Amino acid sequence: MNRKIFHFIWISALLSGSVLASQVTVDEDSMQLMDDRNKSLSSNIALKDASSAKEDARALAEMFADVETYFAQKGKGDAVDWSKQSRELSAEITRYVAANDFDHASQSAVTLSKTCKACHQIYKTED
Amino acid sequence: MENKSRRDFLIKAGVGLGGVALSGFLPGGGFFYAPAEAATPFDPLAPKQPHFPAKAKTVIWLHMDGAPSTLDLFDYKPELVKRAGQSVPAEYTKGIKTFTQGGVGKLFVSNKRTWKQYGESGAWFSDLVPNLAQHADKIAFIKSSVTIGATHDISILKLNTGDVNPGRPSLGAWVSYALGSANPDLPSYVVLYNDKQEPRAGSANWNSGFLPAVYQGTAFRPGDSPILHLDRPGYIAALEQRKSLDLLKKLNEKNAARYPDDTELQARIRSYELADRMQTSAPEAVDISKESEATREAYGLNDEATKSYGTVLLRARRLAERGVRFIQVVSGPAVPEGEFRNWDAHSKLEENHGHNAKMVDKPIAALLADLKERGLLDSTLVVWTSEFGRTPWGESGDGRDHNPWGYTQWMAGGGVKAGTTFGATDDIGLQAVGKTVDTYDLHATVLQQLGLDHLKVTFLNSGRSERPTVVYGEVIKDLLA
Repeated sequence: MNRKIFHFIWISALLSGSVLASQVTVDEDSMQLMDDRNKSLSSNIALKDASSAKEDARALAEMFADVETYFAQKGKGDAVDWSKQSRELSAEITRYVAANDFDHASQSAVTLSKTCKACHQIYKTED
Repeated sequence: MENKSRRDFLIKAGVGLGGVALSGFLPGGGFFYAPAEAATPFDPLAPKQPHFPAKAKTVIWLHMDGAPSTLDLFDYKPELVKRAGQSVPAEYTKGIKTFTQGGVGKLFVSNKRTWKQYGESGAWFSDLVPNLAQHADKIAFIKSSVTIGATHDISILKLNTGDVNPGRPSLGAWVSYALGSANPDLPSYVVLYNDKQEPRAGSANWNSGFLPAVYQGTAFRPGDSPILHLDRPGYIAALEQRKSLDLLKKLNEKNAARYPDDTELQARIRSYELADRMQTSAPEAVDISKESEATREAYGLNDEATKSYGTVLLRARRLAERGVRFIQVVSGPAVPEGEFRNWDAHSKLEENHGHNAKMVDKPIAALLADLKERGLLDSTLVVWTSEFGRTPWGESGDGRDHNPWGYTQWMAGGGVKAGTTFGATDDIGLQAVGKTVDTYDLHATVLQQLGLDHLKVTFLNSGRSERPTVVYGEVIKDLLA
């Protein structure tokens, strides 16, 4: 490990209390997991399975937080915005599902999928 | 094999029609937000009520195979004309990955292209489509279409099924599943093409995917005997076939009486009866010999350049009249055995589009006029579509490459806002600007006109609720009257 990276991790660890905070990675596997979760969310909303839909939305919100951190580290402002928007949409879906408003939850899930797509348009094939 | 798993197998295999109906009684089977139940639970194609009043009863889906350059048909770009021969300015390619096979060449326009505005809407049409131009005020243009640009096969699959991987149902199959058949004597979903061979990528583009096979499209070949396997084999006499069917029916009914709960068996009996009825009704539906000379002339049947495509469009109108729900028409070669198999003009665009536009222009114009005259245009949604568009830069000197970032499609009839344009591309016609329309949005909008909420047309597949628009889809309300 070169000295610069070591210093970066060490400073991050000091700031966050954990070395892990500076090591968020988003790779093809994690994106595939998110894609699967998103499809599962869409399905569970259609099935009006509130508890599974809420669990999907919660897991997605968590993953989007990681994606946000990852792109913040890379200095990609637009991707940070998309991740943030997706996290907020996940929370919105949770609220709709909790209120048994599956129609609005469905529409928010479409917006969430489109937000993912907009980001993929730019970053999907980037190494 | 136990009965439950046998049923399960038959449903998945699409063999047991009754299984399809049965799925409506299983948790999650059929519609979760069900329209009215079918008249009989044993007929998967019995008419079903839409979610809300439909504007259109029928869709005629005109797929321009090979991807026309809509920059040479509908999307007039004076800036492109001005910049022809120059490199593409960097600001236009921002945000796209130009991985297409030809690379980014110099901006290109054909020196033969001329443009005029038509109708009260003032829509622009090029010299390639003079007949269609006369119907400017019937058309709702979508000038900000986008898709996933890949090979033709993959993008065609997405155009028809919403996904780039095989296995999902085509839009026509979803329509059949959601609405059933409006004419028990004909398939509810028919595919027509004017080529000697099946269209590129074949039946994957009209299959039923994970829906029961009964909802897949029925392909009608061009020529005098368009329906495969409809005619009785030569070695079986009519009386012999009738007796065989009667015996089969008797045996099946006997078994059905013994096992009244066996819905597959009852459905099987019904499917034989349907096939029997189709043997008389289907040939009549596609027989254009009874059409008037004026109609034949209008569709271009008297001209070799338009005859083959005109014939399938005239058949499409006859099928629409007879209640077929979804008619998918794939354009074939403009010159049989010729150089231009389709619209895919990587080179010689002028020649290619000259032939292809001539092949479709007059027949499509005739179809719009004919539907209008017969009072069918209001209830028939005509969709002009392609797998992607073509680039404003040239390829091979006189062609254009694939462009999935911004192209034109259009709709007419079926409750769309006639004489309007939704969306736009940039000044050179490369990328859509503002609100884009992806395949899923087009599908959602078509379903909306049929009275279907795309979010509520669902089918349980391997424990997951699936819908036609995958996880996307937005109805483009600005396109609707």
